[in-house]
Amino acid sequence: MDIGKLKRLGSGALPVALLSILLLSSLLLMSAATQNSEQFGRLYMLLLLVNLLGLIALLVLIFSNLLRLRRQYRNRATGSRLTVRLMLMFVLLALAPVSLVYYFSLGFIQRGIDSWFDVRVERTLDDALELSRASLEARSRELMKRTEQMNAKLQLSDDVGLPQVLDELRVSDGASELTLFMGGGHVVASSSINPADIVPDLPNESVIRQVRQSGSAYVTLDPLSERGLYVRVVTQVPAATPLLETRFLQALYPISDRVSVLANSVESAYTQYQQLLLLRGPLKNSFILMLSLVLLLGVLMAVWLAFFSARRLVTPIRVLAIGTRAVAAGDYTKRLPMHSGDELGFLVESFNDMTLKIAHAQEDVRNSQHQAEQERAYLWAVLARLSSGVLTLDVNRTVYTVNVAAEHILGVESKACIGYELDEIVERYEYLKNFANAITPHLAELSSEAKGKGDWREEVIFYGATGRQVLMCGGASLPGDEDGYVIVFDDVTNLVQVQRDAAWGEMARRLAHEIKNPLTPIQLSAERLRHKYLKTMAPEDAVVLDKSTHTIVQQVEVMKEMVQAFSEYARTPKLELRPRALNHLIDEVLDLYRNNRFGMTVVTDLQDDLPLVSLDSGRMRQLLHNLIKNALEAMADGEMKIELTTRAFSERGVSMVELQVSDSGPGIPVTILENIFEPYVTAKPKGSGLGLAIVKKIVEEHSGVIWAENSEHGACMTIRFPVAQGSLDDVVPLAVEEAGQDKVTPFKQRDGEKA
Amino acid sequence: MYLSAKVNQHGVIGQLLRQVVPGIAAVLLSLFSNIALAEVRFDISEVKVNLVDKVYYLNARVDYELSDKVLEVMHRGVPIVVALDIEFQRSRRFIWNDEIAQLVQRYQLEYHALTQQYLVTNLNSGLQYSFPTLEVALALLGTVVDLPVLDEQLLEGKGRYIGFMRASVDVGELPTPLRLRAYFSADWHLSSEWYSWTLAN
Repeated sequence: MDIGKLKRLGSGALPVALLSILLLSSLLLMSAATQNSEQFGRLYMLLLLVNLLGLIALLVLIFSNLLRLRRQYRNRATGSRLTVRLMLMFVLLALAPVSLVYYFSLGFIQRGIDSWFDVRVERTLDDALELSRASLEARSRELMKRTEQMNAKLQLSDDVGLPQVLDELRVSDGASELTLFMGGGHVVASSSINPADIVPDLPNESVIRQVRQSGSAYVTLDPLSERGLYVRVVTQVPAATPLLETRFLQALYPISDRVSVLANSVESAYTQYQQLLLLRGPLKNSFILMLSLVLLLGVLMAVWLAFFSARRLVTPIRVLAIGTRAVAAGDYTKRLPMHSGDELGFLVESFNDMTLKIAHAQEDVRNSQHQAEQERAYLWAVLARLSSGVLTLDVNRTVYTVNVAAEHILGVESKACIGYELDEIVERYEYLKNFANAITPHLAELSSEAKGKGDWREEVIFYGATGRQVLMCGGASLPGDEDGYVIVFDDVTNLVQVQRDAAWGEMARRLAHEIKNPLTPIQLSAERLRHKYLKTMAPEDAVVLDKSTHTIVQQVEVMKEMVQAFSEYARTPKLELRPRALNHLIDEVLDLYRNNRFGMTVVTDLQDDLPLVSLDSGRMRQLLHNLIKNALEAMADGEMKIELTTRAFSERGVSMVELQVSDSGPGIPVTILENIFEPYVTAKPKGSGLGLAIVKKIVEEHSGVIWAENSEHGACMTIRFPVAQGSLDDVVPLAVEEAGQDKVTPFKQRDGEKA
Repeated sequence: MYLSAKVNQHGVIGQLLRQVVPGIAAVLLSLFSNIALAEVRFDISEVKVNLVDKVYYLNARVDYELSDKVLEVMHRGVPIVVALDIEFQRSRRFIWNDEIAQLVQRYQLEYHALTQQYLVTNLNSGLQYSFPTLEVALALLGTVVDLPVLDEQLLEGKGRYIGFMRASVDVGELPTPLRLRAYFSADWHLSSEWYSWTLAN
């Protein structure tokens, strides 16, 4: 049998109840056996063994239960403490009365059995037996004499008439049987009161020997069970002649029924008393054994019942404790099994109700949390796809959220911002200082004003990672318990630029159109005037006319040129961007200026292995021409030295190519430095003011940036282009490419004029 | 360490069995050894087996020497039962012997207080004899005359047959309260050794 089964047996009520009933019945049988019952007497030892084994089984059960309880107690299992307490209480309750009863029962057994025995009773019985003996002996002696008389009569008769004589003697003497026999046991003659007794009851050899040796009669009382008491007298019949063998006569006399019954009664009473005397000790012992077994059984059953009921009682409490622990640990799904309909059952039911309600509440909380999370995710998705930058700050100006557009516009990473104060972020990204400075007063204003009011909008300009940026910022304080601000901004740099460019372009186009139309008639009219009246006029007047018409024609020409420049600016030809080597273009353009026609020195510092840049070669040439021309015009008065530098570098993960053009001129006046790239902003007496505007337009068409600054000895234009995504294989050789293209040579006329 | 590991493996029951079972075994062994150490006070001699009319008759002499305790109990009126265990086996060469016949002859010896006679009853036949002295009674008890023990038909052909015989006091017939003590007392475990003889066939 495996241990699991045994354990189940140990905990089940039925097997133990069966075992108890078995033990109890075997004890009852044992008790019957002790009362000298023949039937169970033979089973006594078996019953004892069964009992002992049963008790051992119970003991084993209890012991295993005890060990289990001890283990649970040590492991601090739920309910074990209460079980122990209840069990101890039950055991004490059971043991106390049982022990008391046992103690007194022991006394009663001792005294009860002792009280059976009395010296007087014993003596009386002895006397009664003695009296019976005396009475019977008297009768025996009398019968012996009578037999001896018969013996004398027999000696006179011969063998032939013996049976008849014996019959007569037996009847006259009142004997039940008369037998004449030889010493060897050979029957000579016999007479019996019962004719069925063919075989006479002869005495045994020792009696015959005794009679033969003593010569006197032998008399005895024989207690044969089938005949009852009778007197046996054996006498020797002297032989008639010495030659003949000695004969013996045996007479059996019945004792009268009355006497026999009395004698038997006395005898049995005496014997029983003697037996009782003998059995006094063992009887006591076996009663005590019985009692002890009963007690042991009772106690063990009580102990087991204590275990059983303690466990039964504790089960719902244990279940409750386990349930409470589960709830404390956050498991609200726990449902306790119902055990009973009593108060404990009610408790369990209430507990189940409670946990159900808590579970529902928990579920609601989880649902709303889930909903909030979903809304948050939704908002976040919307925020992420907004083209406007959104920034939220808490009351301490610590950044709380930064959306993707904000990262892009401000050129920051959200990781480097979220959780940091605005000042810390400015420390990290210095170019944001303007931005921070612009919004700080508004934040202060917002925090001082009532919530929900004081929305603000402002245009903020700062020089960011991609150059000058114009942001349209708006802000408001956030609703909620905690103060906070939301700042929304759009990068309107391009928008402003495009609007401005479009306005200028439109103006230039109209201007060109409006001005160009009257120019030709003016020029023709001037030439006609000159042609018609120059010859006819007086020489002094002719000089004036010649000079005036010449001036008109020349100025008209200049105006035409200007109009041409305007229309150039307004024109936006289609760009053909291809990865090209910037250095090649620069070399090519510079070749035009290297012949010292202009009296200037060209210094180049071009980085080898410069990455490719997506360029439109025509526009790029125009850009270079404009820059160089601009420098030339600026340096008109002093030393003429122009320096071109190219280099590649990487900033914030973006690879760029930089071109710097610096001259040795007087530099750009600080007053116009800010707007130097605007149309009609120029420091030069001559010049359309469109050269740098066109340069900037081209740079922007190439996704580049340009700014102007003053170095130690002149102005410096810096242009940056992003590096093209491609390899050298994509490079189209310039010669091949330009075979079919117009060579753009801006300011051709002016070049020619200067030359 | 080994023991504790074992205990963990087999649990409480295993531990209990290992501790309790040897204890019980020891007690039982001591009891049985007590029984086994029965006093040899009876002696069997002059065993003769005669074949008459295809029935074997046993003649033997048994000397009974009863202990004082037994005599005391008997004189107090408690009948003492003496049993003669007789057994016949066919001897086999390599395996255990084959039992072919077995009988138990029981006699009851009691003291009749009134008449001061010793009564011997053959419990198998019911015949009863009375004797004035214990010696005579024991002498008769010890004289086995022409006791039919075996039918010749039971002997299956030729072979070596062995008879066994033993005389002993039958404790099981004592009054219940006395019996428990008698089981564990050497005074009551009176018996002869197994007497064996070869049966001529």
